[in-house]
Amino acid sequence: MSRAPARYARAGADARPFDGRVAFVAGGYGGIGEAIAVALARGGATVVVAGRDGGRLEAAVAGLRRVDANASGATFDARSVTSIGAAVDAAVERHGRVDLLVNCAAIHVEESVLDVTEAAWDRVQDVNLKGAMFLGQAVARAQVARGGGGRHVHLLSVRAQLAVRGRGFSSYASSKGGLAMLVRQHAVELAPHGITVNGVAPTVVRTAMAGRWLSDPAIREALLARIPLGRIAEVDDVVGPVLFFCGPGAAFVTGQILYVDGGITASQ
Amino acid sequence: MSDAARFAGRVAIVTGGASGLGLATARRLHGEGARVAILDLPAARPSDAAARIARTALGLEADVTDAHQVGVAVERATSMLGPVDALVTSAGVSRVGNVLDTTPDEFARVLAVNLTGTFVVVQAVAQRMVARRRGRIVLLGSISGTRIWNDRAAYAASKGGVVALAKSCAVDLAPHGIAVNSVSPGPIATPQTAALHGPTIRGAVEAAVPMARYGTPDEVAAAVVWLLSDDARFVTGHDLVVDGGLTAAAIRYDRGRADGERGSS
Repeated sequence: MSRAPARYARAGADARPFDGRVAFVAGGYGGIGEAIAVALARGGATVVVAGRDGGRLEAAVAGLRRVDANASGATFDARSVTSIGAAVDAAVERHGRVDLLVNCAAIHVEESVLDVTEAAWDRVQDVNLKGAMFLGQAVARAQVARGGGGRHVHLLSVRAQLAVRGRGFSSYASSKGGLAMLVRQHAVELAPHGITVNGVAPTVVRTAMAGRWLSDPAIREALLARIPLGRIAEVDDVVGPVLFFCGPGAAFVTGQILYVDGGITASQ
Repeated sequence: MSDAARFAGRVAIVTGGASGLGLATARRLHGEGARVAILDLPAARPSDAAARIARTALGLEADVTDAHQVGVAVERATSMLGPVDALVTSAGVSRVGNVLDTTPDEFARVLAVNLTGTFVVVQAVAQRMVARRRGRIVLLGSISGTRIWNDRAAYAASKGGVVALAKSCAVDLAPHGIAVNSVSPGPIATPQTAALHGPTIRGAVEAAVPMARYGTPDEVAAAVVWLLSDDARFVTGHDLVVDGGLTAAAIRYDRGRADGERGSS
């Protein structure tokens, strides 16, 4: 495809490293997920965008088709193992295989440790951790059965490693910390099958969702003061690392969490 | 479509570039369009290695433990190729020896090359990068810096230092627009490991690594080059491990055989 824009045509030594590959992008209509889905499509992949909101799913698939991508949508609820299995099965049935899993499905409910409710805690763990476990399982089952290996990339957060002072992050931080360990365990168990499992852990990224929060000068300044590179992460900053783990150069990399944080974890 | 343009017009120095992981990295950088200088000891014949990569590649003879020699070499690379955009420090030595039998001189020699030598090179190049407010640096660490093999006392200490040095460089140089990361390989099939690893070590490695094999030099080079690229622009102070899952794992065994043993007892 000659119309691949310069940005992603230059994303690797091979401009279309995902030709013939099928990618399943869970949460593929969020700010980061959609950019990943588009980048994978521009790299040659057939993309299945999966998520809970049918309307946003349709819009994301339509966007991908506008850039001539082979794309389809799969509605699923990350809190339901049955629903996850059905969505992955449908993707395999439709496209014959799933080579790449990118899991961006996550929620955050802010409550101070004194106020955390059981309902919110369960909801965060179900989507962020249980969803990751069973997405990984469903995709791995299809990949092991087919015997061609695969790549799994889960989106984490610097909150997998660093707590937040003065904010109510118990549910979110523990879900991402758990996900870091899940990445390692899946990596070790799936390595004999030629499947790599890695994580990308960004700090706050300038998405539509974070935009409102970042427009508060006090919050923005406090954040910038902690980032050695001295700027807020953009969506594209996260896309490159995900493509690296999905690409041919990362064949011997598994069980790793790559921090995309402008130096925060190195300095704290 | 192969795209050679990712490093077009950029200048890269690779220390220890005459062999092993350094050579693989220099080769890949050249393949992606960079003008490459290989810095190595005279005995390693860096000019011969450079000539095998490309007519335009430059060989630089220097001992990384000698700040004066390093300064002269970096100056020469800058005047011949242009200002340095990317630096890879791959010069290193390995020494088998445990805490009881390593002599202080042996220990000091490994630290001098692997840790102090890395610092000397990074400082010489970073001082020049600061003026242009750009640059990307990757230090070759090792999983030995954080997870211990037996009988590698000096090597482990030196590589642990390199990984910490990379983070210090990242934090100190971030305000100058320079990103610094490390790549820590696990067991990789290089001429060095081929010479050092007999059947016992090879068997232990293949049993311990979840992917059940050694990595290739090019698999390490791919990670190094990716960290030098614009795609990694918000990544700094990170230690990217390339080890087939080794450090993610603890004990690994053949479940089929283990089930058989359990059944027969």
